[in-house]
Amino acid sequence: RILNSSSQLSSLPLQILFYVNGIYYIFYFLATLAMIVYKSQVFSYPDDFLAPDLAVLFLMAVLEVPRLYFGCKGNLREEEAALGLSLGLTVLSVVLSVYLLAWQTHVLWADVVLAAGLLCAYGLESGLKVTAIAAFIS
Amino acid sequence: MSGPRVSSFFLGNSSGVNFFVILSPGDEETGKLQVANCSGSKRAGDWNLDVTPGMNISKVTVSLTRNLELCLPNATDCCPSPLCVLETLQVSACRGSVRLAQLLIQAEIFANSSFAGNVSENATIIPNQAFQPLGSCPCNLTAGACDVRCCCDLECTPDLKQLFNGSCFTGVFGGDVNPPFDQLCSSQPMEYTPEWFPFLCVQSSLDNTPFLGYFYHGSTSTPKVPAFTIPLQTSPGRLFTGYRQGDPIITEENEYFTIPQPSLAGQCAGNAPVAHLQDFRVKCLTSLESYKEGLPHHVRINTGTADFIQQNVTYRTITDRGKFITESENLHPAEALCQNVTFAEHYTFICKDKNIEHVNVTVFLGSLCDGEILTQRFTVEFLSLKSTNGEELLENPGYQVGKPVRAAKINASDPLGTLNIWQPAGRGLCASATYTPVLFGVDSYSGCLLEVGINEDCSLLRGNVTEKLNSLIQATHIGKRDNSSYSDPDDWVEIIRLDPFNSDTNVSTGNLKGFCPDIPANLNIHIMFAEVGAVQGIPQQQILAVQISYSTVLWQFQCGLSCGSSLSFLPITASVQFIKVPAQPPVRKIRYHRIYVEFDCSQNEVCLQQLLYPLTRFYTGEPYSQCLAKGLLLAFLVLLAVIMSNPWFSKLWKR
Repeated sequence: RILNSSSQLSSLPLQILFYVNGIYYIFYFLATLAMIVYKSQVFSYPDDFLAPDLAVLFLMAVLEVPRLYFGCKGNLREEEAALGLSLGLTVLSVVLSVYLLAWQTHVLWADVVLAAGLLCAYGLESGLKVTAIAAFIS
Repeated sequence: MSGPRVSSFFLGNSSGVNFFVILSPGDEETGKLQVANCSGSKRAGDWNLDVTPGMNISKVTVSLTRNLELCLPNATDCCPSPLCVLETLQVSACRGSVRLAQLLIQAEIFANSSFAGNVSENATIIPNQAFQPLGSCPCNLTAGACDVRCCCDLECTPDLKQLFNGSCFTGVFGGDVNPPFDQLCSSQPMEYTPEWFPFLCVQSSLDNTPFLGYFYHGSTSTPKVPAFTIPLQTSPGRLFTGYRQGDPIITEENEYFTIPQPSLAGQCAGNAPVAHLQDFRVKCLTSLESYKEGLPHHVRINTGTADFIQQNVTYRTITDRGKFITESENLHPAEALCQNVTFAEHYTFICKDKNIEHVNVTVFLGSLCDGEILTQRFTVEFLSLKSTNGEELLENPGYQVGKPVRAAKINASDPLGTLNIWQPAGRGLCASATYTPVLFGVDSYSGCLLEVGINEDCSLLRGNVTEKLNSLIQATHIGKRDNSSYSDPDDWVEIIRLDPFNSDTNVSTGNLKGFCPDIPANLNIHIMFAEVGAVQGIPQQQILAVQISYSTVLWQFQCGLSCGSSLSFLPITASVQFIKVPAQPPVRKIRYHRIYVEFDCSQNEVCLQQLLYPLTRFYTGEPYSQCLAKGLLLAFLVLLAVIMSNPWFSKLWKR
């Protein structure tokens, strides 16, 4: 098969977005962790409120790896199943990200900015994945 | 009487007696009542009269028969206003037309108030105490009514709120349980906002302020109540092995043997114990009011071997009261109250080895009268059975604090020497001053005044002063120990004398009268001692060196109003100083010890154990759990970095 843009169905912007997302997510994870540590020092966390916040953050980190892996794999191999799984995980990540944006115990302005950036990336990614799946299926 | 029923009694024969009750309205203007006549009935208005006849007593009851409920103004058969009944009744007892008795009743009856509201079954919801500890509106104090100045009160109608809108309660009491805090992004900027403030300000809603929190759910622990009671030293106990030097003498009942001695405060303590082999002579002041009898003389004393001996007491009377009594101003010689009291007591303890063999007491009695001050004298002496001339038993060969320093003139015919300092008396003149021996361990400073005339020759004066000071030191050597013997020269140290600068050269002061420089008027005795070993657990102190030096002063004749031929005073002083030196030269610290001190946490600010926190729990500035969490996180990140940099992982990533 000749790989030119007409017969190649893999989406280049999606691939770029995966890379950018991966790097941005590492930064986001470290920054949010640092801010949670900062908040626990400066403000008072009631006993049971720190654990859910940290749990959500780590769960998101754990979900990110298979999400990006399946996304890359599905996009490069033009498999819609993997890409669909990745889309499902993206939805879950969006929910967790919204929690960190709005329902955290203390939300700092930096939290809002970073999570908003992450949500934008997820949103764009989801859109591109849907078009890619549509392209693969048809 | 309360309630709609009232009763009274009619005394007397009630046969043929009629009882009537009438409502008497009373004149409005004058307030006078109309006098009732014997007419009427047993009913008046709403009132009923009941009579229960008896033998000589009849019970008369008046009762109200109407509804006493509060109701609307226009309704019937109930009370239109809270004050229901305000009437005056007259009850008359008549026989025929003759009035026998009269009873006046003034009734003021209020309506029965019953709760006429709806009781709701809904329980008030108490908000979460952690977030609203005082409720949602703390100034809402009255239920069902509007609280003034409480703007969060829901029972206030808007027009009512408008009345006090300008002066609502502020702060938490006014319902503002979540005041905006400084870290909030929307709060007004304070004078000092950190630079990172725009990024790290709190964006979340005011419901979840960081200043509200749940109550602490930690565990509780009951504190151990510290025992503030000091364990009292009760009776001395034990003591069957003999008395050592300094042990208290104990009586038969296991109590201290006491003789009044002066305490640190200056007054005499009546229950001061007596130490073995420590003599004393004390004086105690007392008067008739404060006189207290000491320990009775029939008390038996423990000899040291669980054996008890009786005191051999001899009583004598004082004839010469002058030595003991000083009379105070208030004299009542005629009717003075006099009592026979103890003026002096002499105790002699005769010891053998560690036991007391005999106790001889001489008690001097005399009469003390009211208003006189008595100086009681008590002496205690310990004698050894072996020696006949009263030498003391020396268990401890080293010097004891308070014992006189042994001095000797070696290579002289009479080896006995003395080392004294001044003990002035009277006006403090040297002519009348006596000597007192230098006591070991007692730093002292004393002197006397030498009378010097204006025409005194300076060199003569120097010689005079030097001679006087030298008379204090009648010795060439000082004993190292208390039991230094004259035959052994090793037991003595030579006195190092630093003689004053002898002005052999004629320092001509010209013809200046009344002025002499360089008078060696201060004698300094420095005695160096050390602790050398111990005998039977008692540390031994030895004198190592003695130095005598002189300090010079400048004497100038002090004129009074006129410089006549009066005398001036020159103070001559002698000071003794005991300096403790280590018996052995101190061991030089080896380098290991010097370096090791650097890591000693109690002496340094930073030590190795604190740097290795959290591996060692030495540092207490941070909670251990937090530090452990941070450390583990750091370790996790390092591990992550190591794993990520593994080439296998990068191959996986590129796949």
